[in-house]
Amino acid sequence: MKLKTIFILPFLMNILLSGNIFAQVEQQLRVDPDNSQGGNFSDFFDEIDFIPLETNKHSIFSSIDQLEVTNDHFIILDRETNAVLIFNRKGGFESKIIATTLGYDYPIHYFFYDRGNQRIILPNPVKRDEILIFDLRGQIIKKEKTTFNNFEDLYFLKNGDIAHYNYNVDGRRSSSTSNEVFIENSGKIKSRYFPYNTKTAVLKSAEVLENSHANFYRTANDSAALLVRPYDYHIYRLSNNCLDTIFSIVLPLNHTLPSNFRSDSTFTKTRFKYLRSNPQIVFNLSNVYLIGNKLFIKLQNLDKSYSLFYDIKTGIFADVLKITADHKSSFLSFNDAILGGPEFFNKNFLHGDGTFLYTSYSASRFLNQKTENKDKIIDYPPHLEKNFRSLNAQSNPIIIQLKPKLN
Amino acid sequence: MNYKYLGFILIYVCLHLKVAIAQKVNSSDVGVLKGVVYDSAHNYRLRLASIAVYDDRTSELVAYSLTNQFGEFTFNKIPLDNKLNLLISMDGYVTAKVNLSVSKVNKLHDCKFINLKPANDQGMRILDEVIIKSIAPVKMNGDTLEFNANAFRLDSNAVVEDLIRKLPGFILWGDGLITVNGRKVERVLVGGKPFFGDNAKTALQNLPKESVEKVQVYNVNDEKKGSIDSLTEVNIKLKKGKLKGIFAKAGVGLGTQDRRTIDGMLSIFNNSTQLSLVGTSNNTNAIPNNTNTLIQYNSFKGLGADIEYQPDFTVQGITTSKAIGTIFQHDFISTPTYNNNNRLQGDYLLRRTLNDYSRNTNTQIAVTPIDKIIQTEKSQDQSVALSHTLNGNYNKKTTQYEFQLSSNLSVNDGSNVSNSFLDQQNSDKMLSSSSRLNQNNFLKRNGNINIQFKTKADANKLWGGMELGYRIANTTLTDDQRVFYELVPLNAGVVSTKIERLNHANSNEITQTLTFGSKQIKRLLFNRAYLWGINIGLNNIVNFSSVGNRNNVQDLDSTSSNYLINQYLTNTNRYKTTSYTPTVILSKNFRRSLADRFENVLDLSVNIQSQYFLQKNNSDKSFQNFTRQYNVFLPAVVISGYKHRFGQFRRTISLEFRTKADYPTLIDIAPLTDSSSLNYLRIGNTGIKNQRTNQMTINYNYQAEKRNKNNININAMFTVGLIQKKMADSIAFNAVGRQSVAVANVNGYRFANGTFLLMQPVRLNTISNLQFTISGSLQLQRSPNYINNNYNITHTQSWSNKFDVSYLYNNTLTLNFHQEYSNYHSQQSINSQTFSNKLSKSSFNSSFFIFRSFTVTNNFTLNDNRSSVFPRQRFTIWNLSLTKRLLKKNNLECKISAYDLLHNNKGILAYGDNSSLTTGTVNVLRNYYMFTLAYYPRKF
Repeated sequence: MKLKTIFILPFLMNILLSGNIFAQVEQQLRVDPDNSQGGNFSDFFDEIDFIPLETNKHSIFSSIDQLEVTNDHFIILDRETNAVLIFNRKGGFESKIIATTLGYDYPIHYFFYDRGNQRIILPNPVKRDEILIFDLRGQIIKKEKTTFNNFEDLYFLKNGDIAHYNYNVDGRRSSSTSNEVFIENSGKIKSRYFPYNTKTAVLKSAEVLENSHANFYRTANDSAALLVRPYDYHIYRLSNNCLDTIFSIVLPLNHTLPSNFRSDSTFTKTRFKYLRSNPQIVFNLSNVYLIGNKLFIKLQNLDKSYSLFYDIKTGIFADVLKITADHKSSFLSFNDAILGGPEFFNKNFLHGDGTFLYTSYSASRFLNQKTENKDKIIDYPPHLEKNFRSLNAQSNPIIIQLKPKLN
Repeated sequence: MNYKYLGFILIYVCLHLKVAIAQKVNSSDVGVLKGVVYDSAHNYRLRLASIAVYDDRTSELVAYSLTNQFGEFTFNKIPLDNKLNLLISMDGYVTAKVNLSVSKVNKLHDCKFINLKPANDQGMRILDEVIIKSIAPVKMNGDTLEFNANAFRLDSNAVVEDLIRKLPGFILWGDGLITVNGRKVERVLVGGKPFFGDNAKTALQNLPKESVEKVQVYNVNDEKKGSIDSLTEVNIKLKKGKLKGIFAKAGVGLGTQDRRTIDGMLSIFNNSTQLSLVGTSNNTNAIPNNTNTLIQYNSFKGLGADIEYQPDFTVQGITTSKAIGTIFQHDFISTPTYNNNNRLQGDYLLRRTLNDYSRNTNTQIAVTPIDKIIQTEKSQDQSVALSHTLNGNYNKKTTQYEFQLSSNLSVNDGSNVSNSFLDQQNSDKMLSSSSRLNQNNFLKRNGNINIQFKTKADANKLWGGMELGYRIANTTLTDDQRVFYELVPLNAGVVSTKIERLNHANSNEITQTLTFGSKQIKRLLFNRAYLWGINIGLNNIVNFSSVGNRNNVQDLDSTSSNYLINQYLTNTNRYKTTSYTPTVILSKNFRRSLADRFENVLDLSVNIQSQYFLQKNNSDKSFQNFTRQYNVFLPAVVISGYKHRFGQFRRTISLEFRTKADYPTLIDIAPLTDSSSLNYLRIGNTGIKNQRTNQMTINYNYQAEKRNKNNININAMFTVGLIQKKMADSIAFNAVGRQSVAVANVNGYRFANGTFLLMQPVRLNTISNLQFTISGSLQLQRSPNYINNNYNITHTQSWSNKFDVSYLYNNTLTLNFHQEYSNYHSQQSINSQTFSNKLSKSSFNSSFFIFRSFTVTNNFTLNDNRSSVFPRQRFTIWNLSLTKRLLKKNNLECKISAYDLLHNNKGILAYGDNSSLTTGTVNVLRNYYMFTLAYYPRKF
């Protein structure tokens, strides 16, 4: 009995020390993705802007793999050229971080942005306790050791608080308790959520099918972020000292994971096989952007993923890929999936800042639309006419900035 | 979904499907039909919905297209005041049907919004009538573009080839090549499997169009080029219930000049097994080299105008052939995929050929700077051969490995009688006259087994990219030869000779080859070390060969009239070789791409290769016993660059530097001189060394892929090289023209050759197109040798070019013009003797599908041959045939053919080598008329 208490006590302590988990105002969003609505562009969006990114020998890049938007800048990761590029909001090129020039001889898989300090952070993929910190001019400020290595995702909240997402379970590790999400400040952990045992947790890291984008998503409020987890249909709101479950996505049975998929040991070593055998089942939520009461979300499965719009107020939901360009967008598509391109299929909306959504496609697809729409009488605004004249098929991709209709 | 491949397919859609309207009307009698396809239940405009317009009266497809991103469709050339059915279909929706006509007054019909109802709303209640007529002509299915065969109305007896000709972007070239939007189709499969062999035409010309559900176009990885490029494949998906079938042919032809043909075939297939029995008997030079050729020859073929099947009047000699063969294929996986198949294939051919070959030649041989030998020869050759060939192949491929077991057995049993008369003279006098009669019976057996295993290349796997192979081959030959040779001297110094000889020869050769290596041993040697991104591969080839020869030679002793053993030529010999060729392959790949703009790939590969070669000969004749060994370094460097500018072109350029070693053989080192070949005596050279070839090749390929353009395809290759210590003939002539030939190492042998091919289709309108092909080849050679100890250099230049243009109109008329020009020129330094030959060939071919089932084919070829040593030869071959298909299924064919109507065919020989030039004539097929009746029973 005494022995049992020794084992259970740390676990209970951990729960007691955890933040205010489940202090939620949870709202169920019932979605049947196969029966989602479509519509015209002007039904869903108020504004669209096509922002070409300057093309010169220093700024040329392949495509946008990660986008961060600040008040004045677009920060872009291009894995093909292994560089982080910084453009101003008008698309003018400002600077570039070429990590290899710093002895960083590895592909940059992702970067983080510290909004409060306006810093770009590159994790070292080999020395997982080291990060490289850059300013918005692309200049390195310092290399720094971190207390918390092996993080998978970071989000910089207000007041120096940093949210970590970290799930690392391996039967070969020593047994200890860790947390999937925790908030630290200057190396001191302030709050912990979702505890797990690094050795004995039923769901091993090797059985997690990663979300193709991120775990944290920016909101209109700098002190909070949205959070999603693998094999979990909840959307959480994480703030400096609180984690709320704000939405729970309810899908038709044929798209739904078994409720014990994370926790039941009968799925051990068969989770990927199960998903391959049931490719219609949604296993992750990603690309979650809440703008006013409009939620944009990607439902990931192995068959065809869904990109959905959900009106929290009315309960109306639509498939973003069923939205047709109209006069408000000058009959130009806001995504390349409709034009046969891969960008939106693979990357969805790249960023949301609480007011605008951002996506991207190639200049050639942008230009081709003018040719393909030649039978339509379209009065293009002057800046679009200018873009058509100044761009060519070899130009950098363009950023599409969208403002959802809030009423 | 693989977007690398999807890109190609979508370019294809943009290129062809927006204008895919097949109609035969005047431009002034057409109007516009447009509309928007819409799902009102979900407030959604449907893109890539299939739109088809059918003539209501004839049910013929008038136009088809896919909707654009706005769900819109527009047809600009719709016949006016015709009752039409507009059918709109999409997966997951009930097909909609709209009856309409475009009036002459407005010349416009706007359907506005056409609502499609989701299928589940209607419980899939679709009228049968609609199902039949509402097939979407084209649709996207993931990465695959699919054409629905039922949407294309053709003659009920049409075959797949007729359907393919109707599909937008497909070009069937005269040489059998198929391109889709300018890209070469590498394989045509039926249900994911080869159909009676690898020849696409067997499927295209036998399978009825009515059996086909879909023609699918997609891309697969190019295993040879790795990540550089992809290959285009076409799969013919058969309808359910049409997965099995029987097609056969029984044909007989009788002609003048005692020409005759009998052909038969019976082919059966189902979803997993294919079996074909096929046979022929003819004396029209239709020589069946393999079972696939026979099946091809007996194909049903479509009804259109086709000019490709013309008899070849250039084949030398007259050959009577009888053959029977079979081909078998069984798939253990009924729907194999690119990475998952398990297949057993085999074929067998029994062939009996009787060849009658006679020729008259005149040969000039340079002897000294001022003298030459002139040989005039008449020869006749008759041979009979019975051969059996059996091939087997088992292939299993998974995502991880590929295993292949193949074997070949052949037996060739025959006899040959040749008779030749040779007069020899020099520039001022006759030297000798000789006759030679050879009779021989031979039996040759050959068998080999080849096993290969390789794992999929994967840098993360220790044993990825591993290759293992073993091959064993055995050949035995028994040859009984009887030679009568008589030389009559016509000049002092020439000795009268008469030889009557029996030669019984046996040989037995065993060769074993072991191959082992890996495309990626870096992981094995250096674990995960990066090593500047250089990939390391290793290949080892070990070869053992042993050839045993036993010759028993007897000469008739004129005094005793008995055959006595020829002690010199009677011999037992065993020649063994061992070689080991290790190669380390260092390669690095540089890749740069910008999404939707370009992809540039540069591959560098350096092969560090050496070769150890050991040869050992044991013979009864002591001078033939030797052991020699060689160690040579044979490096190779390959640089290849690939550039893909999206929507513009794909271009591949490669530069290869390769080296090769050739080793002297027994006949070069220590041959036994055959005294019966008095005019050509072979002498050994024990000091001969191996020769080494160094060559550089540049390859160029360009494929345009511009939108709405006729895309050009260019291939070019150019090679230059030199051979060090070339093993060249050193010829010594005596006063009476007798040649003694030994090999000697000479330097200064250089060569260059190149080829060029350009293909350009021009789409005139939806029912007619032009196909241009321009090709050329060039060979330059500087080859030194010795003649009577004088250093002689022969410069040879030969080149040819071909121009071919075809006009195809709606499968009813094909016109073709073909111009071919070739030139050969050689000059010897020893006596400045030159030889040139120019050949021009102009063909006008046409095939006209006059009316139902009746085709007239015309083939007119002008040949013009000009030679520096022979009078100009001009002749014209005119062939004409009328073909009529009878019975309801058109499976009875009557054909009247007239070949060489002008009685003008001539067999002309003209060729040269380092020291001699030969011209002459040979017997060929001449004018005959033939009536052919063929019946094609078919059930699918």
